[in-house]
Formats: sequence, C-alpha cells, structure tokens
Amino acid sequence: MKQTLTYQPHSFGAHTCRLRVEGLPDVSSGQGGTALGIITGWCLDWVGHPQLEGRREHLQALMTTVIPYARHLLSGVPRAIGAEEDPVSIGPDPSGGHHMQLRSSQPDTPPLQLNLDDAELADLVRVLDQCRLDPRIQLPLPVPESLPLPARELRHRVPLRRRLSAPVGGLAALALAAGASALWPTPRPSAGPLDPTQTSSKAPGQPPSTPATPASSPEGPREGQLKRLRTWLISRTPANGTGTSPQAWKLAVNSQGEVVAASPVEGNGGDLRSTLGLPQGEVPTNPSGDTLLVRGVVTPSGYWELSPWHGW
Amino acid sequence: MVNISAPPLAEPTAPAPAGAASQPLPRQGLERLDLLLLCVEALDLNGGETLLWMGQHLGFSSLFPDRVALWKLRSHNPLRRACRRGIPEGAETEALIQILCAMADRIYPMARGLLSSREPAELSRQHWDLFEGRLRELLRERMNTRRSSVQNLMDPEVGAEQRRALIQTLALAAGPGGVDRLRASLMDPNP
Repeated sequence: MKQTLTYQPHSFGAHTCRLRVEGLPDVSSGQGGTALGIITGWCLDWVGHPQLEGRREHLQALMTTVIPYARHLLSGVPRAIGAEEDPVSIGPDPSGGHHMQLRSSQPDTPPLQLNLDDAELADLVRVLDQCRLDPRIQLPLPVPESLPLPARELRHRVPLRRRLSAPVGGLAALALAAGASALWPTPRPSAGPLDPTQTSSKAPGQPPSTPATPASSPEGPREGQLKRLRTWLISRTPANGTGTSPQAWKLAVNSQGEVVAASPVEGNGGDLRSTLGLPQGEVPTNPSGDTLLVRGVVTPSGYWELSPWHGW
Repeated sequence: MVNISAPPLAEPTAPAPAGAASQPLPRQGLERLDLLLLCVEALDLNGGETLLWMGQHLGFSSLFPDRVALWKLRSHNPLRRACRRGIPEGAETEALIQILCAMADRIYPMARGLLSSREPAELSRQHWDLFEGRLRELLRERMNTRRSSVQNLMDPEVGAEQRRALIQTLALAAGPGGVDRLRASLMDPNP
C-alpha cells in the first residue's frame, strides 16, 4: 500500500516548508506496516518558492549537499558545496542569504535558482534531518559524517593582526639580536696572563714582558718576592735556544727574591742549571717559613713562566 | 493511500560517532556551548529550569541531579565571572550538547522568527531588541565583562554579527539531527 510521510520544521504554527515522501514497503524484505523501503517520489512545498519534486536520487543529492553546507555554517565557514555538474549545489549569496541551484535531469531545462534566507535554510535542514533519521524509512540515505574542520579552514577566526604578530615579532627579535651583537665590543687581546699571581720574565737581551700584577694593587709579601725574583732572573744568563721543549723547575726563593735552591721537575734533566744561572742546591723538603716555593718554566723562546708552587 | 505525519521531534537520536562522546571539548568549544545555552535562556524566560527538566527528561539525572551540578559544569567556560579549572569529561559535555539541541528544538520557532527576512522589519527589530536586552543582562550577570570577547558580544554594533551567528547555530543544530553537526563544530581545533 502506498504511503506518504510528511515532515515539517516544527509541530505547531504556520508551516513554510513541508516535505512529503511517498513510497511503498519492500515486501520482498519482509517489511510491512508503516515501513517504507521504496521511495517512489518526494515533493517539497515551500512558501514563496516553486514546488520541488523528484525521485530518490534527487532527495539523496539534496541531503548530501545541504547538510554538509549546514555543518560548515555552524563553524562559521560558509563554503559552497556541489559542483557545476552536480544536480544540487548551494553556497553563500553575496547579497545575503544562500543561493541554491537545482539542475534537472531533463534535457534543455535550465537550472532552478533559489535564494534562501537563514530561516528557510534552517527549515530545509530540519525536514531533511527528520527524513533521514526517521526509523520508518528503511532504506539508506547516507550523508557525509560530521567531522571537525581542519585548522586551515578556521584561520579566518583569528584576526589578521594576531596572525601576523608571531612571525613579525620573531623577525624583529632576530634583527634586534643581530644588531646588538654587531655593536657588542670585541674583547681586547690579553696583555698578560689572566692569573694575577702568575707572571713571566724575559731573560736579558729580550724585551721584558709586562708584569701581570696590577700596578695599583697593594703589593703583598708574595707579590714582592715574585717581583724581585723576576728581577733576579732577568739578571741571569740569556736562556735563548736552551731547548726545544719547556723545562720546569721548582724554585725556592728567599725574602730577597733570590733563588736559593732549584730542583728540576716534570721530566726536566737539570742539565741547563748552570746555563740558567740557578744555584746547585736542591729544594729542601721542608723549606724555612719565609721561603717561597715557585714553579718556573723556561720556554724555548727564553721566557720564564712563573707561578706559585701548588705541587702536583 | 495512507498519510502519516512526522514522528515526534525528540524521539530519534542520531547515533554518535565512535569515540566522539568521550572526547573533551577544546576551550573555544566550551565557550561556545555555554554561550549557546545562555542564548537559549535569553529566548526562553524559564530557560534555566527548563534546561534542568530537559536533562532529566533525556535521562541525564545522574549527571545533573540539580541546578548546582549544571552550573558547575557550565562554569568551565573561561569567560565566566567565576570559572572552574580543569576539563569536563566527555560524557558531561555530550549530555550538555544533547540538552542544548533538545532545547533548540523547543525554541526553534523563536529562533526562526529572528532569522527570517520575511518577517515585518519593525516586528523583527523588536524581537531582536528583546533578545539582545535579555542576553546582555545575562552576560553582565554571569560573565567576566572585562574580557574583550564578552565586551564585543555585548556591544550593540560590534557583537550583532556574532549574536546572529549564535541564533543561526541554534536553528541549524535544533533537533536530534543537529547533535552531530553541533558536536563536530564544537570540536573544531583552535586555529
């Protein structure tokens, strides 16, 4: 028995939109009663618009176009759905509202143009929703699944100024850092050893190196001994070319700044003792209290590198 | 020929996609959901009570036994004057979405009237003024009015487009068929 299912946007008041679906139960599938397994036709009555009619394929095309369009509208992305060759297409109308095109399968029939406002679109969506979710219609009317939109389609939500702020800010920070690093003064070459207690001496015949101890700093007993030691060493025999590798000595310096004993250390054979003008005595294990132990290294170029003795 | 009318609107419910109900909403989704509920309250004078009744009618009594539970869930909206930290569970937000769609179904004629361009202009203006006045009062009462987005929404000119978009959302999400659409739009990632 032929049946007609009627869908309306709401159950009371004036109805501006009414969808009627006609069909039959599919008896071969065991359907009966109010079930509808075969759609023979449908009709959409719209106040202010021409009546629409069609077969099941047209109803399916209407659903697969209008419902995804409504999904995009909910996210604030009014994107046109449906191509030129599709039976139904819908998109935002530049003059406001929505523009829907229905193309007939009959030849030489121009497409039907419909301009809908938001309320009429909502009515259409509601009747289509009721139809596709009606348990009495027992044939599939699939529509694309509603999924969250990708982030690239939602960029318009962020104002242009905020969208550009991050890259522009990054570039500005990079330019500022580059400019600041260019203005930063480069460090001067070191005039002497960094350790204030370390000094170097030059044997006679060579220009004396600059003492590392600042002239303005108060001169303590150790600094005084080291200064006098430097003078004492300068007065020794020139040590140029004394070897190809540095030679280390453990020096015992008295309060007058004179080396009173010297012991070769760190692989030094001690064969240049007399050449360097060092005393013959070895440094005692327990030197007297005013004796300063100094580590001296003679470089191949003749410099004495001096530093307090800390052992090893 | 047998003529049969449409079934009651609130009976069939669109099947939720697998796992959709268990996913928590992002921050913007929570904001929009609460604003949509606020719009329902602005359109329905007894909206607060009706929300609770609708929750019980749809079988969410365990989630929303009283209005305090409903208020606590809605307070996750960061725009609220007294907002709660944390993320509500997926089942709670899903229940709220279904309540909202059912409420939008009830108030559909009002939302439709606001959106219709065929209504007399003066009547439409009066309806909009009434709705905007109630919404402004609710926003002032419950939202943090120092937030720029709340100020924009309350502004008569700047917020007009956003208020219309909220009403359009209610109209397009009304009924059981709108649950999937609304849930998907609320799950949109933050751009």
